[in-house]
Amino acid sequence: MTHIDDTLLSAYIDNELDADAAQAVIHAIENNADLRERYQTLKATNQAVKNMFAEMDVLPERDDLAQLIQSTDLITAAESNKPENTVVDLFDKSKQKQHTQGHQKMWGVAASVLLCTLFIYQLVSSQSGIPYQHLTQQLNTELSGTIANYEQGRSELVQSWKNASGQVCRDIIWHAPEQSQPMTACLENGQWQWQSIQTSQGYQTASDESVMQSALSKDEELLLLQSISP
Amino acid sequence: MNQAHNEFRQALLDVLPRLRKYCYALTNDLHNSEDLLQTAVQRALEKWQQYQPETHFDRWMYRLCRNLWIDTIRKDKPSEELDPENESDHIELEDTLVTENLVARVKEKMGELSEGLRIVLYLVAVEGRSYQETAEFLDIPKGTVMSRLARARQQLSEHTFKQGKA
Repeated sequence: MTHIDDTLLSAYIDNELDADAAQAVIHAIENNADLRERYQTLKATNQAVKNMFAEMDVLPERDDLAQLIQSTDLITAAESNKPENTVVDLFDKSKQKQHTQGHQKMWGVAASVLLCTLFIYQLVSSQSGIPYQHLTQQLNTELSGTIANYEQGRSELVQSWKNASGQVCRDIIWHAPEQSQPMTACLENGQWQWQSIQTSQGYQTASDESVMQSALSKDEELLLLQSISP
Repeated sequence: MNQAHNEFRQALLDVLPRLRKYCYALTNDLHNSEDLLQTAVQRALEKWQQYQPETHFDRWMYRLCRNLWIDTIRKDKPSEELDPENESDHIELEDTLVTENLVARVKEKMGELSEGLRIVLYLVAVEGRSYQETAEFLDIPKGTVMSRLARARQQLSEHTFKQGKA
């Protein structure tokens, strides 16, 4: 017998179940008063959400925006969006030829410095460009195995576990184009505390708080999410 | 006038009503959503050349809105409270089965949902998109759409119905 939970009821409301699954839900709703009440509650909530957005239909139309769309010169608008030409001639063009040879060396050095700077910048930004705010949201709402895509990269929730202090921790890997960064966040006083995983930790003592004591099952994860989800 | 320009303008005008609601789903605040809509339209007009005609226009605009909203959050723009004077005074609900009270409670509690839950709920429940379409729209797995929807409805119903029964 299929266990009917809110996910199935929700999919049934959205008409997203195949015929067999839908039939199982219908049968369960007809024969189980609690489930019927739950279904009606979810359906009523769904309808309330629809109505909430339907209220926006009575708002005055945005004629100002319609006018803006009709009247804007798209070519001018696109031009104004281009970055300004900030290239400045270093020398008078008539003198350029005679300067070129003497300054080739200088430009070579400048290019090397620039490349080094870019390399260092990339290294630093690959560490600091992690969207912690979004990752925290993922920790609060998603089960392990979930992958979320962002402009800067994607994050992969790996597992949840408890450490020696009984704190719940979650492992997540941040995949940026440059590199993948495994991280762990532990829940402390309702806040996720981030820490990067060191790749060469050497040995750890059994009393080390950061050591995994037990992995959380899916059901335990669900309970965790229900308790912390914003 | 250039035909490409006309087509772009028309596409923008057509998507405007839905875009307005999407902005509201993103921000959960009427004033912020109207500001976001305005900025998004201006930005679209500036960047119209970046749109590729054979792709989904609404998806392009929704993404633009979301990026702008993320930028706004990053700048820590203080979220302004709704000004009751500017809210619609006489709102009539189309569906008499659902009381105004319930809608008001849902509206209040929508703000407590994470943005991810709110947007999925909006795309499926309000725009009527399929799970598959929503998954492609947001670049997330279909299973995530399914679980987010259930969780969103779960959280809303817990809040609203617990209050209602109390």
